[in-house]
Amino acid sequence: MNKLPSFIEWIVQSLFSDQVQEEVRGDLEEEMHNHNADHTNLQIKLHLLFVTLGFLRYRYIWRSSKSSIFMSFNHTFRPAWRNLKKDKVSALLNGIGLTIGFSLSLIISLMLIRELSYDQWHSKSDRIFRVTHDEQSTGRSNRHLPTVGPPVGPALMETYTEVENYVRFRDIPTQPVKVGSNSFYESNLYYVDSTLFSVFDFTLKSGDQKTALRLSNSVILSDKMAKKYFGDESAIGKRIEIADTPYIVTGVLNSPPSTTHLSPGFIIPFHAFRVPFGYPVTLNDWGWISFDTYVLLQDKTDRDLLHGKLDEFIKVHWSEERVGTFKFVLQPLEDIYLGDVESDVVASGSWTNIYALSITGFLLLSLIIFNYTNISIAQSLNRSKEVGVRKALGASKSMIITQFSMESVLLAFLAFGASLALLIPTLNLLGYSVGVNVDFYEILSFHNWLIPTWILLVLLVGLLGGAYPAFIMSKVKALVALSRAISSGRLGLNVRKVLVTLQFIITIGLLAGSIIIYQQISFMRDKDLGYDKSSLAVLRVPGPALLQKADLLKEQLSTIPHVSGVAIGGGRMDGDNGSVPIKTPDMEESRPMFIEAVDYGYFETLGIPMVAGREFDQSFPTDSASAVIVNETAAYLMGYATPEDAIGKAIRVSDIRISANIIGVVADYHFSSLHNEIGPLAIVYPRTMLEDVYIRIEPTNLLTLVENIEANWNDTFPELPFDLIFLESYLDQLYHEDVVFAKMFQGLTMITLIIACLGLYGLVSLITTQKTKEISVRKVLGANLQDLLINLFRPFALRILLAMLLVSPLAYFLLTKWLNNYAYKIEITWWLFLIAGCIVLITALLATILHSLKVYRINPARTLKDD
Amino acid sequence: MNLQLGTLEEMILIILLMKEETYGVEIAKEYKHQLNQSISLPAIHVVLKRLEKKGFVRSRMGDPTPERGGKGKRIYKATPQGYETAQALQHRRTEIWKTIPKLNFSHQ
Repeated sequence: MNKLPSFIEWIVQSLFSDQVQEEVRGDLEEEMHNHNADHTNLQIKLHLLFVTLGFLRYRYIWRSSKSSIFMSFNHTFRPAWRNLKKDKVSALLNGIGLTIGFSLSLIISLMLIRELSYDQWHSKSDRIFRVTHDEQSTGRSNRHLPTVGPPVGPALMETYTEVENYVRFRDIPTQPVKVGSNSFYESNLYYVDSTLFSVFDFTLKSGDQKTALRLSNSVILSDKMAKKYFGDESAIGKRIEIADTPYIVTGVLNSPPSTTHLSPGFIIPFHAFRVPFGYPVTLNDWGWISFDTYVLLQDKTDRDLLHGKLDEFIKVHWSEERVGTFKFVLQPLEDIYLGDVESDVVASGSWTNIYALSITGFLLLSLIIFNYTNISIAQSLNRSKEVGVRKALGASKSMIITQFSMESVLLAFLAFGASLALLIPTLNLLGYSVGVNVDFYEILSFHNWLIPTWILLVLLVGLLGGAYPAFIMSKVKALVALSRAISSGRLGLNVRKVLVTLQFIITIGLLAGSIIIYQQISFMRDKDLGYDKSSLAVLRVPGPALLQKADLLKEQLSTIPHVSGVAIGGGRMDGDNGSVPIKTPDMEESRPMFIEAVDYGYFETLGIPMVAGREFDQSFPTDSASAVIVNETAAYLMGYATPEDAIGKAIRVSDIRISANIIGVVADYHFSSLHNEIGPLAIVYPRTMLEDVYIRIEPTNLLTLVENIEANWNDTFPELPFDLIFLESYLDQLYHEDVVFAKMFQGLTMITLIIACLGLYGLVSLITTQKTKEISVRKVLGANLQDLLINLFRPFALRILLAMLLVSPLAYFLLTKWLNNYAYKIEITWWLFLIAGCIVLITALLATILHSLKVYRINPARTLKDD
Repeated sequence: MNLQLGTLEEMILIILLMKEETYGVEIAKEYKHQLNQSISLPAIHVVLKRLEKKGFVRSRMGDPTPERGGKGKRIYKATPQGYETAQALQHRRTEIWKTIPKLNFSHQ
């Protein structure tokens, strides 16, 4: 920065007297230069703003009050401020409502921006594309994979001049990492090409970008990992062991912004990658679809050009029968996070949440504006005398409008200031309680248009809220206003009725939504998964280690008291299964089915019944080579009328040329989260694929039990880290995002309910004040509290009913859309809206009772004595 | 006219005496350097104005310099009266300090 920001110039020019302007500007410029070196632009701007505003404290340098800005300041702000102070209760009610509203809108807008700005921090983000393998558009299957074969990246760069560079990521599943004498299980390990730094904007905190990935035993750690292992010491040159292979740390990454879909913890040079033992492929295999490949194009418009040429590319490198079965699609980097190409390796977001968030945010903001208008109308009606006096003294219509709008804008800005002050604590609280992590400063540093936009929005809210009362008050004739006829008039009541009905509509809609969301989440938590998920502990063991000692471990664990069963499987019921095309002689063509590996006795321990046949058995030596169990869904998909028909049939796995006989059909159980339907599943029995030991435990002191298991573990595998989870809590993580969403939605609903009640309270207070005389007369004539309440409340009840009828179809439509995200969902019942309406009705009734009691207690003699 | 000096006023007056001729930003730097405590520019300016009113400092507009974006600065200089007042204050303080009993260990 080498010039004063224009807004500072403007402040100086408009507020300071000519004599000191030069001095102040000079000081500010010097201050700016002094700060330039070690502060960001934003920090300097804020600092300059504070210094400039600091000068304001000293009156001697102010512009003389003859200047126009000061004139209007004196004539609008002063009375506005005085009026706010005069009517403290309404100002407080309004202020609280606005503060809550602004805070929420701020948070929602920050979250939305964060979700929408993933990966935009890379300077070349518009030219980076991920090469994806698409079989959807060719109709062969419903697969759209984020990965391609290892030779694709280099070949693309060699063939097409449009491709400037490429980088490949190969994800490594969780590995034991040994540092000194400590071992840990770590994920987020990748083999990555050394072009990483020239394509992406990842940078090294220490180490040399050019050489860090040169040697095949080098590894780059993320900042977090380096801290975890070495604390404040430099990690460079330190030795760590990943899966028993030694590596030397050659670099530490700077933490990337949190809006990144790739967050590697360990980066190993790609050339160090060896094909795992037993894989029937090589690094030249075009069909080994397991490598995330990103290409950097010369120009972002080259994408369409390249799409046209890629069919030709496929023809050159693939055999004739594969051509036409799939396509390559270049997916823009910025679309990956929210895109629909599924991958379990990288972070992803959902458009549904974004829509839901923006809709609720918008509704909330409008609710606040309505509410604000409501209360300010009520407030302004009590001020008709003031307006009368002003008018009698010669105030014009526009002056009255300016005055009222100024007041409301001033209040809006005060509330905005309060919500800004509350923002950071609220965000921390949110991160702590709900798990939503939003870094305010990070977002602000990438989007500096945010603050001006917010200020405009606040101005708009203030103007909209103040506009209506300002207009009706400006219309009042001075004589009428002074003759006090207006204080009992019905000014603005119709608008307020409409606004209150709108508030009810919004509140009932959100309430119905949050009930449905709550029901859906508890439905998923309580749903029968087809097996008994309670009291199951799962111990993860790396495949090769387990292979050697599986039987030993099983035997030892079974001897621990309160362990009632031990079985071994190949996954944690989280849907992390591969799928392969499977065919039986009775089928026309092969269909993709999920694959799982289990040991003998697995289904019995987990409590999953066999529908037909038997499960794997140690006493049948042929099981491990040529037996397969399928689930019911698979049996029906294969075309068998009953599960029994499937027994004994041979199946073929087409790609890897394995065939096996079906020995049993197992009842359907949920092997992945409830977002997906139960798919066809083929279960095999090779011990090489096993890695999870399921331990069924009886109710007991869990702590001692876990200690026992760990002691046992340390005897069997002294070298390996102990990784035990309880399946039930682990499965809850699968619904983490849904729970966060539900919590947020419920919070928002609660707040709208509160705000709507505030508005209602305001309206009731206006009506009762206007009806004080009527009520007194009724009381004199013998009305009791009940009659009074019915009289007051009837119009509200009708309006709530109307709101309920109006909102039901719309809410029904939106909620059905939301529920369609889930394969297993609840039905929306008609009485849902009735319940939501009743809740609003009861709250409204409470607000009415509160206020009418106050009026009821007034002695009728006091209100009637004037007439 | 009030000829008393506040603590901050005195400190800034001493800095002015030390520097012969100086201006706002430099005073802020010197203040931080001497007292290890930062001070805002507006605060310095208001103190300077007050000192000027009391007649302890004089000011004039100086020449523009590049680091100020070509803007002039108000240069302050202490007056003889300022020097005397500050000196009198130091003297009086030293006198009072002398009356504190020496070797009084109870205060250590």
